Amino acid sequence: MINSLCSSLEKEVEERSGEKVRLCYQCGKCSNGCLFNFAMDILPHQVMKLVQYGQKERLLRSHTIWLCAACETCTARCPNDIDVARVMDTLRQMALEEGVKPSERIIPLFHRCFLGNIKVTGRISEPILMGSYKTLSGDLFTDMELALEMLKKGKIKLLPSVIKNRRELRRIFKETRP
Amino acid sequence: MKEYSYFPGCSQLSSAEEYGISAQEVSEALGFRLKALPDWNCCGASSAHMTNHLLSLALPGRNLVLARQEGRDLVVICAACYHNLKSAQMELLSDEAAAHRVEEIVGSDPRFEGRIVTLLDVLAEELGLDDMEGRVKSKLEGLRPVSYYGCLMARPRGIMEDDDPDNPAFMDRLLSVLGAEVKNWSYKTDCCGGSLSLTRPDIVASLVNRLFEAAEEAGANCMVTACPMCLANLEMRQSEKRLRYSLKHDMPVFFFTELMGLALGLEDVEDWFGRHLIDPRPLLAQAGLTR
Amino acid sequence: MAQRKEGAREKATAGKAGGAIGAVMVVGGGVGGIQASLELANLGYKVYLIDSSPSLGGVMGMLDKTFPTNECSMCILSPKMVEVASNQNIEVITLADVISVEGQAGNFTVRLRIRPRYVDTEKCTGCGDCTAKCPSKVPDPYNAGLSKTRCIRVPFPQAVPGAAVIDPEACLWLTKEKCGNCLKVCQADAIDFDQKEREETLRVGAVIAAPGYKPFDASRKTEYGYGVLGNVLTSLEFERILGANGPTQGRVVRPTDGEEVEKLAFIQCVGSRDTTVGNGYCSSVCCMYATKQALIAIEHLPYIQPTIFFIDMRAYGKDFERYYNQASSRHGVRYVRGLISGIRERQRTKNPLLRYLDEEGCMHEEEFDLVVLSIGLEAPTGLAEGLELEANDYGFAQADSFLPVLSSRDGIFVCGAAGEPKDIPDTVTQATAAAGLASQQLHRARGSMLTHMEYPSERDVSGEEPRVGAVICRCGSNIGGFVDVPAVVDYARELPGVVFAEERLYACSQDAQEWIRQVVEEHGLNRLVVASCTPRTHQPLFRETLQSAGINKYLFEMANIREHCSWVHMREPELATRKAKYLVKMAVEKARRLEPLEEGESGVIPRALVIGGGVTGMNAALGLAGSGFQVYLVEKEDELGGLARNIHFSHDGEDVQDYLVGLVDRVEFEELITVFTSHRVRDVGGFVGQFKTLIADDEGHEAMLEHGAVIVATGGLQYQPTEYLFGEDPRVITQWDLERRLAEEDASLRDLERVVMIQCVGSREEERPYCSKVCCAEAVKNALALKEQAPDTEVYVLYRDVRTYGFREDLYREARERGVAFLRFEEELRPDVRGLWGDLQVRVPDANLGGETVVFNTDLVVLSTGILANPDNAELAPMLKVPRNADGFFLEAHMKLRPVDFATDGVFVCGLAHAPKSIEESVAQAAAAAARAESILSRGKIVTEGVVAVVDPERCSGCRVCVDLCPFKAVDFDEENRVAVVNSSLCKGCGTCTAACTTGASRLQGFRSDQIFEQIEAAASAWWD
Repeated sequence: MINSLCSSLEKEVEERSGEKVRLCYQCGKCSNGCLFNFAMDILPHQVMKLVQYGQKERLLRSHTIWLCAACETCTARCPNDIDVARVMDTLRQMALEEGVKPSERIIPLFHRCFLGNIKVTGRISEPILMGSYKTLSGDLFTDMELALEMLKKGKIKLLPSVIKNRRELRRIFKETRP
Repeated sequence: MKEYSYFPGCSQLSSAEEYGISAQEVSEALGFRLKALPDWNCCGASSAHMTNHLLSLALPGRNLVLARQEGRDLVVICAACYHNLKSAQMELLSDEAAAHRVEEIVGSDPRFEGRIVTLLDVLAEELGLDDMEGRVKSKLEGLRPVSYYGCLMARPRGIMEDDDPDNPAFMDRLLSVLGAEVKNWSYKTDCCGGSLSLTRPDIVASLVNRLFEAAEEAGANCMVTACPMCLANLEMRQSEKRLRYSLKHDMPVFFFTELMGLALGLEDVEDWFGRHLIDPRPLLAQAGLTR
Repeated sequence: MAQRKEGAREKATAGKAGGAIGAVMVVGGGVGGIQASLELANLGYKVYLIDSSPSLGGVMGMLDKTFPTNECSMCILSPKMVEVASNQNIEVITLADVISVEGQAGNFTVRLRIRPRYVDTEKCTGCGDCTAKCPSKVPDPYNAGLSKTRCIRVPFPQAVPGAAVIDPEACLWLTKEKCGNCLKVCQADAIDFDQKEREETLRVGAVIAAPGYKPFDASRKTEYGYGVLGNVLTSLEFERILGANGPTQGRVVRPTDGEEVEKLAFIQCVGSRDTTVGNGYCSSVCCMYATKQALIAIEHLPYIQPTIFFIDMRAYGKDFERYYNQASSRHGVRYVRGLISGIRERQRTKNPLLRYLDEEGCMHEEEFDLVVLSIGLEAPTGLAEGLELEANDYGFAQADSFLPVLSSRDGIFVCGAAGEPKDIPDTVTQATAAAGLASQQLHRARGSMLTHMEYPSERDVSGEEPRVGAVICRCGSNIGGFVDVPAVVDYARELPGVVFAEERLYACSQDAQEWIRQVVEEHGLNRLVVASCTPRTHQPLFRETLQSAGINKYLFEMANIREHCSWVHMREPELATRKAKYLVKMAVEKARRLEPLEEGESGVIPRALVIGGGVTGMNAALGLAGSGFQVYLVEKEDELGGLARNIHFSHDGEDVQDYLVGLVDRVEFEELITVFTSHRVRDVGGFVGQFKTLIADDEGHEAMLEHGAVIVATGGLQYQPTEYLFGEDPRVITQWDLERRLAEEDASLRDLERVVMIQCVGSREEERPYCSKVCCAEAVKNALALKEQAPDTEVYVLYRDVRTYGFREDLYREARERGVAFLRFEEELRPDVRGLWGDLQVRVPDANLGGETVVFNTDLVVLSTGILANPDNAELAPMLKVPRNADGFFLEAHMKLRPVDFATDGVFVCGLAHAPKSIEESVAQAAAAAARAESILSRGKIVTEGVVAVVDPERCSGCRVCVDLCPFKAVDFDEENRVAVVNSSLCKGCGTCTAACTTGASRLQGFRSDQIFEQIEAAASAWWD
């Protein structure tokens, strides 16, 4: 049951993303086309509706915003030209900024490790990324055999490739911090 | 020899080294050179745009500055990098405030006005398929590939101008010219779930499985892609023993540049094929394509 | 803009001073153009009907069936095409495009570019011999490219002109100077490769643009794989597959393997309601045509399971909602809400795969045999270039807000889909309206350019022995190739009464008519039999030939030895010849017994009665007055205006009250209109041309009006709600209440924090199972106006389907853009409005959130109440002898092609009396009804058919069976003599009364029992010969 409506979330999403969620006429094309819909707790077209209704907490706590894999099929096919994937990005960013405890613990953690890796070396290095991700997630053994196989095939380089101008890199991360 | 600026992308340094090498070698064999941007950095992948929009402009922004300084069209061989660089370029060219903000951050004007293209675009423009046919040394007979572009090469909407963004055909035509018996299917731009590959392998396994089922149904014996993220994901989640599905696929996945190298008779091809998690060499041997 | 168009309207009704040209060019030969042409010819104007294709017919000619009656499209269109072809005042110019239109209303100079046909339409008889020998195959445009035809062909069997055409790009002679087979085989010598593209100049007083629409190119929606996936078709292609005359003869099979279809899917809104392809509007017809196609598919193959994927089901027109409900509940059409994102395909079976979520949110991936894309309607080409009309953002002709047939150019009228996507009845209505408006400008030149046939006086053949002439037609090889024609001629010559028999290669050719005239004179013939093709297309021609030879045209009989014989017995030439003989014998036996019949005449009182003084009635009256006819306008209330008094502004911002005041002024100022307010119709007598109507005021003062035609414009009522606390809580109001407060710029509206509108109040429910059509646009319009006055007020619209068809979809999008929120509920789970400690609370299960209840307080609830039929209709219907439908609205003669006519001649209907509709639709219908009435009033006299029923009063038992059965209300009962009497002015010669008469008193002229029996006898005896 939804017993309070407010329009501030819609405005916030528009300010941040430039997307007018209110244009949605609930054709459901985004949800029908989403390859991840089976795992979502709120379907994309319902996300559009709940943004309009101002159901912020429910959205920021949802699995959906983290399960969206950003394939942008929804965006490409929306007849109202709403960038649905960008709205998902925006909700994720709001969830992080507001410190909402995510329903999908691991996924934001992975993003943190990924960006942490870039921040240090400027390019992704599997040992650094996997090291930090495995440690933080506490899931040490998943994909271990796979990792060994990849190492054997030369698909994982032990020495990272590091960019020269790391000062610029630090500045990028400092300046873009929300 | 015509030169392009070239954005290799992180995976070409590690998991998809064979993609970067084969792309470079094929290009040179066909008469143009890919010149890597000096001191390029990671485009931020999905982690940046999913969690920090400004960062998702600034990281590609620094690369766009480099491309602007080089002054040549930019070839991006990784579909994910291509998508990020192109999206950032479109936003920076259309949103002045964003461009200024990024300029402040990266210290130079990021408004690169040259074209950002994929290697497939370059092949279509530079060479044409008729020309290609004449250069084929060993026909890829015995290979029955389906082409798999992945989801990001045709996004955002309107980016794929010369081909059908939902059923692109150029890679099919290219592979046919190389002598392969290309199989038709309609999953060319479906998402494989790559960005959740490490975090939600359960979901991704179902997506990958669906793709291989469809490829088998189409009568294919291999998949050919232009995206290193897809290839890594397809190989990893296919070979995973924990797959909940009764079907166990064993279908090799190639980069299209590897097969071009094979058809053009380039020397290093055996090395490339040895690096795959799903070893394609039995299939190639079966097809009589090993030297 | 509005100002300028206002001017155009004034001129349209004010008429044109002298010097106008009594001819009109109609651009486009689809149903709109055909209708406009026939109306104009009827109204007394010369017509040039231009089409850029080789035949008339347009898209309607390609359709299999029409909604919501599932009638055969070609069967109802083809007679109109034949009528055009045989009307000597309509000149059909095919393969023609308009280069320019210069001049002004009343006097235009039109330049046309006419492409060569390479076939002489005068000589070509459409026999098909050339097609049989043509080696060049081309995709058949008539079958949307689904099958092949030959480069030279008659476009389709019912084509008008029925002549062949050559596709210059595929012709071997024209491209490579090879072949020339058609030149060799054409016995009529009709092939003419010397034809060149040429220009022609026409002078006309007005132009009617009816170019139709351009189907959306489905390949632009790449996610649906049209052109890539084998079993994905457009709705237009599927229409051809359903057609018995289509590429699969109506077998519902799919392209890849020719297998019959079981699972069939429709995807709606392909190219409509889609800003990404530049088409923000709704195409208005797709929901219903998909429903129709699903139903027809089931009709063809009962095990077909159709599924329609849609956003909002737009069943807004007359009887559409019922059609939709029955499709779903009775016929098993599955409707699934939600658009398909993309189509994939199984490679082994080529089955399309669709992924969709059901109402519970569960994912399904389902295989279908065939997917049909319901493609939208796009603007036609040529509006801006040739006709120099202003177009809207979508390229459709910019039209007047209150009368959408008025274009941006005075003297040029637009009808049909060129102005806005629309269905057939709305197109026909607009076409008729356009003809009427053109007539208002040109009526002083009425008749000035008509061709009248002068016939010699009829020879009196009474007392003469029958002298029958028999002409046997070879129809090229169509008959001659299978039937032994000389043997039939010999046989005919020996039949009793036959004094002359000969064969002709083409009995219908121009030179053959001249020859028949000579033969009739030389041999003193007084009866004519032609054995050839169908009387449906050719009887009028031969009758006219006979008449021009000075013989009564009813002394003609036709034997169809082509459709009924040679075409169906191609493999049995001997039996075919035998059958041809007895068909001829039957015709001769009947001909011997034919008598001359007289065509009656009755006078016309050149005045009309309009019942109802609302916007519709006033417009109808002004329309007729504009063409110079007197009108009685009867209104039961004490002032004119009707329901429109409650509408203050239109959705495009026009002031409706201003318009209304102007209208009332014009009516009251118009000398030709006599207004009777506070009067009701008490009794109607008489018939077309000569009605006598008794009216009375409230005090019982009576007046008798004599008039030639009646227009029923009785309007409708607003539903008075009892639900949602209406009448109990002052914060629950109707849209009309809100609109009034908006018009008054009521300051208290600005204090409202939240307003909730509830749709479908009194509509689409068990008691009133129809859609009121206007409420969605009205709610959106008022929501926008409210947002304008009170930007901070939250507006929620609770709806079941948003039915903002056509360009109203732009309003819907604008409302969303402005922050109006829309919440969908299901019929069974309606909103609950309750007063709670002084608050007004709404609880509604949100169907888009899986039925999760949304609860909120509101300051105002606005009910979008439906439209009801006027209860007075029940009284009027029997007086006028016209029917009503189950909802109490008047029922027109034909839902598709006669939208403002009744089966009863001389009575017409328009506006809400017909069905719920918007003001501009009512005004267009009023103009159409006025045009139809004008076609009677302008005639001076009514000529009645010779083939009518007569009742022998001596034998009539007075049982009245015929009185009740007559579909045209042509049989009256003479109370004094207790016998039935046929009014020949109304009789259409259908024979129903004759067949039903138990005493043999009713007789149909030309179909007497003895004539029929002798034919049967002839058939039997010939068979034993």
